[in-house]
Amino acid sequence: MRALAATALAAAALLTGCGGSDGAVTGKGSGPLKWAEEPLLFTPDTLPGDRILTGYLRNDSVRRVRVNLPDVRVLARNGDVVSASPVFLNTFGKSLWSPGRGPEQMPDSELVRTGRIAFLKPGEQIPLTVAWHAKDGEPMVVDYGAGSLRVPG
Amino acid sequence: MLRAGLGIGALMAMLLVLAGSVAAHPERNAFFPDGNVGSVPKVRSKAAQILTVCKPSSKKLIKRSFKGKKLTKKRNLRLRQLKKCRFRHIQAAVNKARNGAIIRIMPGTYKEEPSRRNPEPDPRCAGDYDDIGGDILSSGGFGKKGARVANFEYQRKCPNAQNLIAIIGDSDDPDRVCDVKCNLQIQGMGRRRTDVKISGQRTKLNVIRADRADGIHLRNFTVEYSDFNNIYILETNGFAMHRIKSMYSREYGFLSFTSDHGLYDRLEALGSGDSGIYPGSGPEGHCQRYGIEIRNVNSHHNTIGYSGTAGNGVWMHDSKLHHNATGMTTDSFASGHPGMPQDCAKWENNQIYSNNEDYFNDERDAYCKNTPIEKRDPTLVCPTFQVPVGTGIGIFGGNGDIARNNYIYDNWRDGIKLLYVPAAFRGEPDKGTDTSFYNTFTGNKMGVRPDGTPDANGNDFWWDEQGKGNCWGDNSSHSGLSPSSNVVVGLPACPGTDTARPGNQAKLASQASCATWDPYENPDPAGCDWFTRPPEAPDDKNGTNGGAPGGGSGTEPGSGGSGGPTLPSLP
Repeated sequence: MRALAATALAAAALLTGCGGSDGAVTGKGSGPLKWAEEPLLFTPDTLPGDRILTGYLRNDSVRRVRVNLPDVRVLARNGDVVSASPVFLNTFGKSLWSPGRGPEQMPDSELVRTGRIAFLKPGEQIPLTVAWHAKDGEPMVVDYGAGSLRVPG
Repeated sequence: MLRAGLGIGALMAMLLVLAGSVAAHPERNAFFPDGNVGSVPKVRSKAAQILTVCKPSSKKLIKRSFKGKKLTKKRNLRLRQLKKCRFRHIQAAVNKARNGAIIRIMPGTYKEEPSRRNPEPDPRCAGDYDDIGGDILSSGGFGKKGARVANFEYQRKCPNAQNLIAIIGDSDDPDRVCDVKCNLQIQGMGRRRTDVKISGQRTKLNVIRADRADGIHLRNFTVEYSDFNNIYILETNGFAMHRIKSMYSREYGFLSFTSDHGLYDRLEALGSGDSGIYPGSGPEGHCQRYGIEIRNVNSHHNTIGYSGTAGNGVWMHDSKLHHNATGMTTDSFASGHPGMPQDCAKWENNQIYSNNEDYFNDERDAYCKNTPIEKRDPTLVCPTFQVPVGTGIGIFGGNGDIARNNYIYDNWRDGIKLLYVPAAFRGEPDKGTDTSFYNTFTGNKMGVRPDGTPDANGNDFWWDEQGKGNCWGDNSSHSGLSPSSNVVVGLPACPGTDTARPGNQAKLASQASCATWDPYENPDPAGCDWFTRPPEAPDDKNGTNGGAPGGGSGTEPGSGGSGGPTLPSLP
């Protein structure tokens, strides 16, 4: 029952976010979430083959927006998915539960706290960091289901 | 519509993964005892009630352990004491114990079979849970649909559901203060701490649980194979753990939580999937007092030697943390841990070295992922949390912590790492930024062994450049060199300044994707360098390694690290 409710909520978020896919391969970005300021894209010193994109997202819509991390995908210009590790955090954090120890349904509060769910009121901000291996592709956008975010060139 | 379908599919996949998980057991809603009263319990040799526990083999083991002319007197004493044995199981003696009792455990192996027969979860206590966390409401707040955690009533009414040995000190009243099973002393009667072995065989979450058991004193035995904690001290005012060896807990060796007036003394902890010792949710002395003392501890071959979320008011000295993946951490990560943000731990005169154990390599990842827990070799460490391999000390969101006069060497990544944690990460977004403030690092000897031999860290000090009042002073390195750091303009000297710094965005973000580590789904996240052991750092300017090899080899306890100082000899 809870799974169904969560699915319905996610579906509602996706449907209300509509129109997000148009910018996916053009790299313009779309939807309710915008970079609050220019994000930082860099190559970490110790991992020259990796790229990290980090910045703050702002909800520029008039409604609450929920994004579940599994809905966040990094897309290349041709629409291919680039394997990546996104998280709604700007630094390290960890869960109360060790992997495999968790409850049947992790509380939303825990998923929000650990950067697995973004849930923003209008005008609110949340950090997003996305990392990928450069060999896996050149991302054009970060797609979050209800819209997409431009990846700086 | 197709997009929506994909999103729902992904969410359903996530739900299915979660549905396959086992039951949870983070901390219940816990509270600090009154720190204005209480004290560390001293060892006693006399009591109004003395209860003796033994095994059929105890007589033979006493004779073997206390062999020889020199030990005749002690041997005879033990044999006389053995005649008073009335219990085969420690829990049975605990059940009979009144306040102030001494429980003597004669040499032997204690598996506590009657306790193992108790089911978990126990249907007799089906209503005794706390809810923690919640679901997102349409208002934007959190509702009540959280995770269930067994509460104190569960432990009181079903003491052996989760615990092989349970010392439950509070009765059926609302005061949260010990009134039964208080001031118990439970001690092994062997000549060596290995003469008495209490073995969980991973059948229970905790091997020994002391819950609101004020004045508990545990000493002189070995404890092994818990599924969660080998020894768990919770909401207890006054505790001592002395001369105990902890081996191969799936998560923690010695763990105290919301407890005060405590002592960890002459402990050895090895083979823990999380940390060897864990003084978490420590006393709120706010740097006016240190309520938990840790001394002469030897913690090695764990994922972490020492960790403590909200590890406040802890004073650790004269201890050794070595050959772990990370030597020690303290942090302000978790929600629901009283005493946040972490503050006021003091670590001095310790040796923190060779913390390079490679428990996150591909081979170990594959073994831990593909072998069901019940089929794993329990002596192989499978990390239950992620840490940066090759790190001496990690302070992840702490205030007023002091690291001074320690020898910190041969940690191939960083000697000391200071990283802030936003309050949002523990579910308190309104508090904004409230770590890392006023931490001091002074007089530490970096990259050099106590005998003066150079043995470099990869980098001595790592800082995200965030916070205020943090300072570094009078730390030294070998051969007249200054300690190294990742801060190009140099680290602030002591005393630090009150000017808050926002932090270096790239340094912060370089840690973020490490949060996505999952040994089953994402063991090596992109953008995170924590899980690859760095190469050994050169010990001098010429790039050579002069000292004997001291780095971890990814091997198991007892075989890793041929270098480093001799371990303390505990009989």
